[in-house]
Amino acid sequence: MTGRLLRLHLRARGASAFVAGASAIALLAWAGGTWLAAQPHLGGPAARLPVVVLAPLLAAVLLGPTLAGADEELERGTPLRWPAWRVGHVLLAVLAVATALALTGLRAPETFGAQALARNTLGWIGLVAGATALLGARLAWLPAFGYGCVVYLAAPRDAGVFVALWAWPVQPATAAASWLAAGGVLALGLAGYAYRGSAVGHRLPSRPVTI
Amino acid sequence: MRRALWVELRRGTAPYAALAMFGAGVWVLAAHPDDWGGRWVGLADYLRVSLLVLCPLMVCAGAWQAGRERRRDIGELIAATPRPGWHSLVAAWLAVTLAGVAGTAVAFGGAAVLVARVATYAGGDWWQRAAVGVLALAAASAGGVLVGRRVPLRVAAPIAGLATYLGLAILTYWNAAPARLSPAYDGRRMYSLVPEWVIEWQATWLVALTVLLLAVAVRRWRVALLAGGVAVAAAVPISTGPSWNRAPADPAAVELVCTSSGPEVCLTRVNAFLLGEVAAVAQPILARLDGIPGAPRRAVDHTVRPAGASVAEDADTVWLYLDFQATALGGLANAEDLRTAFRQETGWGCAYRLQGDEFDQRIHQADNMATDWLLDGSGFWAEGASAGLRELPPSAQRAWFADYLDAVGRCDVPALVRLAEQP
Repeated sequence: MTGRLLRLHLRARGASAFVAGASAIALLAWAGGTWLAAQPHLGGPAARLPVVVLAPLLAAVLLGPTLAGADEELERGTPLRWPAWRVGHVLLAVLAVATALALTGLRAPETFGAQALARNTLGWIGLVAGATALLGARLAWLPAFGYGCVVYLAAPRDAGVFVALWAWPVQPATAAASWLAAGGVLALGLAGYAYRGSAVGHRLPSRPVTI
Repeated sequence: MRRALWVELRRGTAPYAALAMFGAGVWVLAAHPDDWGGRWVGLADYLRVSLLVLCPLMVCAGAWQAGRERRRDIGELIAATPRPGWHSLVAAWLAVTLAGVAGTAVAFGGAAVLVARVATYAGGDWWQRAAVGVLALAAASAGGVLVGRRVPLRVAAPIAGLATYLGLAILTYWNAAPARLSPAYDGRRMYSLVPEWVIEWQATWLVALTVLLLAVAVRRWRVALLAGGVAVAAAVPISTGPSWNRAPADPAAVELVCTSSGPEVCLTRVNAFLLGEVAAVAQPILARLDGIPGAPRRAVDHTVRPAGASVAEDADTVWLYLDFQATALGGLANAEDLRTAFRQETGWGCAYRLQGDEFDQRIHQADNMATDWLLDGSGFWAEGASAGLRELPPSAQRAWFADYLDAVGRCDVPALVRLAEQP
């Protein structure tokens, strides 16, 4: 029974499209990371930083639409333990994406490779899950996208615990504080999403809808 | 059209785009003020660097705006109105573009106020470089509009934004001719003049690209063909012409401005806003060296050091690196880094040249003593090393330093070992 429910749930949430997209991202990450790491004038494996930031972010953006059903209020009326399903949904995605991306960064995994890819997967998916609870699945990508665009350029040149906390996506995997931050974001996002699910659309505005 | 634009500005994606661009602009400006503080051309270049962030945001905003008809399922309703389809799309693009540019302008305008207070060089082509950056934002939002209109994907906007980010990043990494079509660059052209033809062709390329993207979005194929032709015509000279990465120096920008009293400290006109604070650090050190044979007599901005420089390289000069030395308010960011420049005068190169059996730890000791004496006992990597030396009479201290410079110039190991043990 549960197996059938799981299959139906994954089909209803567009899991196959997400898996196809995540696979394509993993392939691109592998190709991009390998090319960058092979460029000695760019600093070798350390040049994979853009891949480490963008690949998990893209996967997390693709995950956003799967975090809500076609009719969220109708779904909630069904006799299912939705918090457990939501947690399972997100953790399954984290596991699948982190594994797929980590496999692409096994060469020098400690230098912006597998470890940082796994850490950023935790953080970005946590951010998208939290945003789903606050903004709804339609706009769940927005905070992660905005933050991801800016953090790469805006991260300070100096290092420190505070910088490692707020600029966790661009830190080396050896920065313990960045793991704490990414893990914390995942825990918060997961808790918020498990408790609230996807935010349901607001009521129509009182003013006329304009085009 | 004007009413439609006004409505879009108030109720479309435009206000959010303005807010996002303002926030991103302030964030990147606050993160690296040393890249732009006190310099107009530095600020313009930083806008071009920031396009790596700002263009993806504009693409995303354009795509979100243009995807509204599909999200709201009002495509047929719009098609039933007598107004031509391109009107609403162009109004939507214009609203997002104006709002995004306004948000960016407010952020960078605030930085411009800070720069205007202290800047010592307002010449060069800084405003043309900034204008090309603004055209790039318009092209980015047009690209977003095309994606939003043509790609029926719920996450088309963020995917298009991230793809733009990736594309611009690759072009920044890619050291090839077509990469010059990218409006974003690494921003290391503060002291040079980008050739006028480059700026003109870049502007043409971006305007034609904008028209092309919009025309494809509304299926105006004749206009698209024309704009595509102009875009290719502009792209060819940009990508096949001589590289402007090694553009000639701007003679007015690298003209030296020197202190009028005390030991000579000279900075380029671009960096001259730092002259007072740099002199306060460098002059006491130069004063200690005054009259010592072989010691440097002046400190000069390293910018004039490369080939074609106005100042010949010689042992009399200490070169100061000032590229990342300005705060947002135009002050000196790190005096200690500046003092480090004087370390080269204490002959560390000799210690590094020696290998294996030749090396003697006492050479480092002599170097540390010289550095600490030169910086008056405050060199953080050698603090206190010259305590014994500084107990000698001033003339003996200066004689020791002169002997040190002589020994280090010849990399005379026995003499350096003797000097390390002398005081």
